[in-house]
Amino acid sequence: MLQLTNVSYQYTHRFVLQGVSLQFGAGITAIIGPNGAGKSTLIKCLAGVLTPSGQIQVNGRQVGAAYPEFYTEVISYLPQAVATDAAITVFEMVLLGLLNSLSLYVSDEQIEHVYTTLDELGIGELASAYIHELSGGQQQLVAIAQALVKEPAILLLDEPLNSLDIQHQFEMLNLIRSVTDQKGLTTLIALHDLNLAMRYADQVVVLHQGHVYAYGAPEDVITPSMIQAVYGVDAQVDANQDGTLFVNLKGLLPASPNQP
Amino acid sequence: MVSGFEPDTIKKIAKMNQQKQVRRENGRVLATRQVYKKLTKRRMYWLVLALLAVVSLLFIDILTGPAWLTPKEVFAGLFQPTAVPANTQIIVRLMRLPIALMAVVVGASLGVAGAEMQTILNNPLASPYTLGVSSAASFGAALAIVLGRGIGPVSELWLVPTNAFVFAILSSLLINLIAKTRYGAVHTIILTGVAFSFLFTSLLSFLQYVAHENELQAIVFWMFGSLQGATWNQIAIVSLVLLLTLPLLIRNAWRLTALKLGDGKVKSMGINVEQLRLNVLILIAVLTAVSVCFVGSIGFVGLVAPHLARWLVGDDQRFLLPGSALLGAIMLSVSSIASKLLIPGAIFPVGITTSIIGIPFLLVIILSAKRPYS
Repeated sequence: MLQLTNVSYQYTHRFVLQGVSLQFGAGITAIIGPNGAGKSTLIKCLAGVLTPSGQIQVNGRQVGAAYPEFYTEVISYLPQAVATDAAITVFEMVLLGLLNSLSLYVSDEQIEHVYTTLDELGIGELASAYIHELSGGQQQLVAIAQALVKEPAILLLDEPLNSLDIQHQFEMLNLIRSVTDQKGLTTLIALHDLNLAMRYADQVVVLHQGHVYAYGAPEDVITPSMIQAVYGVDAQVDANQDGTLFVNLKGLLPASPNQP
Repeated sequence: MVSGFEPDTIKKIAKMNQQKQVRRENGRVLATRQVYKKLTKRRMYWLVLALLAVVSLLFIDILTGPAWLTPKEVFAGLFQPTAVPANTQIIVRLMRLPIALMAVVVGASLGVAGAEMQTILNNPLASPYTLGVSSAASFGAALAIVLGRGIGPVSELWLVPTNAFVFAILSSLLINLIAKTRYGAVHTIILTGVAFSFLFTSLLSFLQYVAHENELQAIVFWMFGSLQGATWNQIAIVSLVLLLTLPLLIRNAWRLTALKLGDGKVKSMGINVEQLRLNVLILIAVLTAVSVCFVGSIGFVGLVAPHLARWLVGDDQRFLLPGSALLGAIMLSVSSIASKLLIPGAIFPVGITTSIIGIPFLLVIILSAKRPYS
């Protein structure tokens, strides 16, 4: 159980997150909201990239300097921009995910563990390829492998679908769904696509101007009124024949503040 | 579906194909399982090869000069001093060996310093001189030459190097201090370094402007960079610094390699990126200052050697660090040899030949862009 109490983060003058209190359990939680709403900032605060005020606790244990294992063992973070310009092979890229337990000599178990992770994601054959030789989709898979290899309990993904085509977006989310379920992970994903959030998330957090606007099951949270209020976009939520819901976007609201 | 085969035969063929597929997959899996070990082995080979090259070049460096020696004479001069005439002994042990060894240790120091500067700034253009260490050292040396005195009580022999060292370190520490206030941001480090570089270059120009003719000559000669004044004490100091810093860097090899993943990712693994960067910056400053103060500003080794090393052994710092050291040693040894061959009978300042030797190396890597070198 990941618990945030009154978490705030402030760049020099502006609050990007203000008084965020949330609880996350196992499963996929999508974090949605317009640009600048604080999605990445929230993920970065949890990942230890930024240091927020307020409290973050895991199973009642306070995250901070006295709990280094939180970063070395509990969480894995996938940044928005994945490094691609190094003279590093796919194998080494994933090996670096074990950074906290690596010594000068890489053990056979560690090597085997990396191969297993690569195979699980179906990219075992890429092991010897240099990271810059891969397509965007493959690079993203390598980054996921790097995040999974240390077997975290909490997975923090900052817009992992960026630069992926629709086929790869679905494949990536299927993959995230299956590892989350198999390993009982608490997975947080910052997302832009409301339909994907609707379809894949167990819970949805809507951030708006640094505040939590809504938090709950996708069908309760992703509503026409929320989309109007938060995005300034006219939309309706319809049902497919099989009963699944989808968002039907109409366009900007006439009096939208986002309009030029 | 119409088929000429009995159902049994079709099943058999399908099973055979399946088995073939499984065998093929097993073979592939076994092959991919070896990828990393093979890679590691290949990198070890490169390092051993580079080490052999360093030893051979050291030998050749002693061999070349106005008076050419045979390999036999060099070998005897080194290991059986009594078996060769006194003048051969003097040439080998007193004149050429210190210079050749100095080329190796200074080249290695600059190679390591360059590799780490490129790593912590994540910038392929970075070199040990990015922080203005070279111009600060040159200014310090020039100040000692013009004023005839330095900072603190030192003998005349050590005046110029001490002053060069003090200024190189002072400038680095100042940059470190400024960078610290901005949480070790890469851009702050680079910009401050460039600013200091310009500052010391201006101050140096001023000194050159007011200097007497013979002082000016000494300043210019110092700035060329030369190994000719190498002494055993200097070699000992440079080696000691290298031997002390290298283990500290190797201990952080994985963390330094991980810097390639970007600050955010590394921080999320619980590593204090800023502290690591500033600590390494100090090690680089010491390595560079100690080298530069004795041999002058020999450029380019610190820029090119890490690129060559990365080209051969990749970005894994466990290999990149020793690789950069060895390639730095190779480059400066080759330059040292070339400086004696350029015009027979004359010895050029090695700083001049280093760039001439280095540029073809760099061009080769740039043009054979099969693997990234950034």
